[in-house]
Amino acid sequence: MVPFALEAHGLVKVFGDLRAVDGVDLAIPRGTFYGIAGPNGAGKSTTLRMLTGLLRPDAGNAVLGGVPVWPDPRAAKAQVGFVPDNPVLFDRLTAPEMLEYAGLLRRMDPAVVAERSTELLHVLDLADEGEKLIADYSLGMIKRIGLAVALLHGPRVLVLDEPFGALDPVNTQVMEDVLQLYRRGGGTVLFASHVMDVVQRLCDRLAVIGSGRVLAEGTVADVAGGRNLQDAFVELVGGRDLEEGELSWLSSFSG
Amino acid sequence: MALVLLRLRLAIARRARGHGNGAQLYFATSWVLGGVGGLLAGMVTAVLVSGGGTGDLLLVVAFSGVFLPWVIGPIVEPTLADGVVDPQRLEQFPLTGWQQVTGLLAGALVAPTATFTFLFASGGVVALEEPPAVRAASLLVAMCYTVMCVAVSRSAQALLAGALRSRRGTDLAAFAASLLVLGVYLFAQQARATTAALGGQSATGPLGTVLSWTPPGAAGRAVLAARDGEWLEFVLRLGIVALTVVLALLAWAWVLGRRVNGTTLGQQRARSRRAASPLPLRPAVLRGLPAGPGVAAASQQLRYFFLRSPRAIQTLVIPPVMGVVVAHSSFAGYGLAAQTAAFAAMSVVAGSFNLFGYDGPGFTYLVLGGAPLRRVLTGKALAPLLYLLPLVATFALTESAIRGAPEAILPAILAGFSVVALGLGVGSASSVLNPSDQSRVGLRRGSFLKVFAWFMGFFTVAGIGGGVWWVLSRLTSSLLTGLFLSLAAVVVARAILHWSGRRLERDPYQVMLKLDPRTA
Repeated sequence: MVPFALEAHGLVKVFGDLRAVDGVDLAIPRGTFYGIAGPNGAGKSTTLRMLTGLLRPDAGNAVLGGVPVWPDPRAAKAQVGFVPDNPVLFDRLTAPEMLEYAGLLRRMDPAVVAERSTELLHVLDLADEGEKLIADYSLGMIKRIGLAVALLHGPRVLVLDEPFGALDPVNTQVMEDVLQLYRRGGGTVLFASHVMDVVQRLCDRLAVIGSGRVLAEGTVADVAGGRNLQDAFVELVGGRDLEEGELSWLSSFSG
Repeated sequence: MALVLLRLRLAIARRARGHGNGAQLYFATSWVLGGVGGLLAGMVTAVLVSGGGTGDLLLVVAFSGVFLPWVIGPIVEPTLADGVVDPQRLEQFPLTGWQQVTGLLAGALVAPTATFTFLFASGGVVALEEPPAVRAASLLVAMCYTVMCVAVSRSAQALLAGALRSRRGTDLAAFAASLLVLGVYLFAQQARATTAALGGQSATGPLGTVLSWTPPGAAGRAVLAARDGEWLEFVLRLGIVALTVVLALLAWAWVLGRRVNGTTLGQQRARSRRAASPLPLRPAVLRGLPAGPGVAAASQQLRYFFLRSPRAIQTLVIPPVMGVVVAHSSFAGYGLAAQTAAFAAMSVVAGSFNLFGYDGPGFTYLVLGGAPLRRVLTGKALAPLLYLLPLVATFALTESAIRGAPEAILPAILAGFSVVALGLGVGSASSVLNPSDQSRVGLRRGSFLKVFAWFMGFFTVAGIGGGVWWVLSRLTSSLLTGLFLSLAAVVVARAILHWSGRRLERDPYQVMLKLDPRTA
């Protein structure tokens, strides 16, 4: 068995003049909680989309459980569950309909789909939504149904892009518990976030990305280097202070 | 504030033009048609104003006729966010309902349809031998009339957008849309008789009197009153138009106000309280089939068609209604098989030529989840069979009963089935090569011409099939001809479906990009 659940080898993606991802190498051990941190526009989401077979890299490749993701990402997709920043779902279906659709598309036994759907909807507090369409859900609810859809087939690797944004503290706790349960069963969790306290609380290992490159990689303690992780992060990606006098009008009101 | 929103509207219009040739062509064509058509219609108005007599009644009828599409448009194309300036975007700014409405109205007036309406209504300005006062009055009427058309249309659109969130509203819209199409077609069929009947009446006859009290008819009557020097009458009729404008704007502002109050939330909650079963996706009629991606995709497609999208149900209902009328009238002389084939051709295009059109960004999920796209395409392509086959059979049976030709039923059903099968095949290719998101109005302008080309291509191929049918039926029986062509159509459809599925699996990203441009 390969020791890494997911690997990236020299991933590159260029959009016009912008080199969004510029040679990213990652090796994510099995059964870990792995974080990718970086400022807005650092290339986190683009990296995740290439790792999960949604975006073809211009160079390099990803390997998921020993299976190359590209050129044919279908085999890799069977092993992964992905929750994007804004989960894309069939928004005119209800949550149970969406889960049934997802299960049958993955050729699951309908009885298993029914059993898992009921349980997931209950745990993620979506069981009482009845015939409400996903289009009418709040962003937090969409994140939760997105997670349910990603977990339904029991993937080996779970990839999440900003999973805790828009969640209230109760649902954040529930989602963390679900993810820890999944990890204890041998699953690997990879998630991107720029919220450092979440990264510090959950992750075993961390990669900090800036301008499409890996700036630092290791255990959270290694990357923090004895400092607060937030300070270490700002130092790595380059912070910016307000100049003297900038936005001084904010200290008065327009009426 | 109205000027700010007008500038916003113009900026959005410039962006919406897009860079593709199709989008540019559509944009230019719509403005040319609006301008040239408006000028021609304005000339007719000028002739009617100058002519007097029966022309007076025709002018009042014409003002009413041009107003009609403005009112019924929202029933056929219901949406609050019209791809121009979305009222939801304005909610965060400190604007009164009145400011929003006047700004949105000013923006909506910059459109080819509004240009056509204005040019049509201002024909009196160039009428022969009329004094300047009459020309000025005609211009004033044209401005008020155009504003009224746009204001009534937009307020009706806003009112319906809320109502259509309910299931009953959706059903009602579908029913109204089919009645509307039927009514317009029957009116067109009877146009010659109607024109002849109008020839014996004047503007002061019963029809003219009634129409003159309706808002659009009052506008036409106001032009005539100015021409005849009846200035009190002019003020009265123009007052009716102005009052209608004010009422429409108030209704529009009221709808926007209701959105702020969150009135629709109660309806949503009421709908959400019903309990759902664990596996509710597949309809009863498909539960007997082995569960898998194909059946799942067919189930989702049928659910979207009939239960989740007012536009989808309208799009599905209108073509078969038109198909009945066209097949029953224009194809009556060609036999039951040709009638059924024509009905099938008109019915199949709506639900088969843009199979991912109502999924929109949901298609991204299919790619993201590694769904077997060939199976998904097959399921979606075959889903329309569930309603098309009964429809075709019912049409053939009913028409044969009307014609008294029971022996022609079976060949007719086979002819209809052949066309349906061919349509499903061609439609699958169209869906893969020219997909567009039906839920986003402003972004599919360029695809309209391509969709039209696909329809025409399909009708041409079906026409060639009709020629083959004619030749074969001279050599053998109609039944054998029907069986042979049905088999041939299935073989062709299967080949096209297979090719389309392979293409989709090979490169789903092109389709994804067209349906969900954010993924770029």
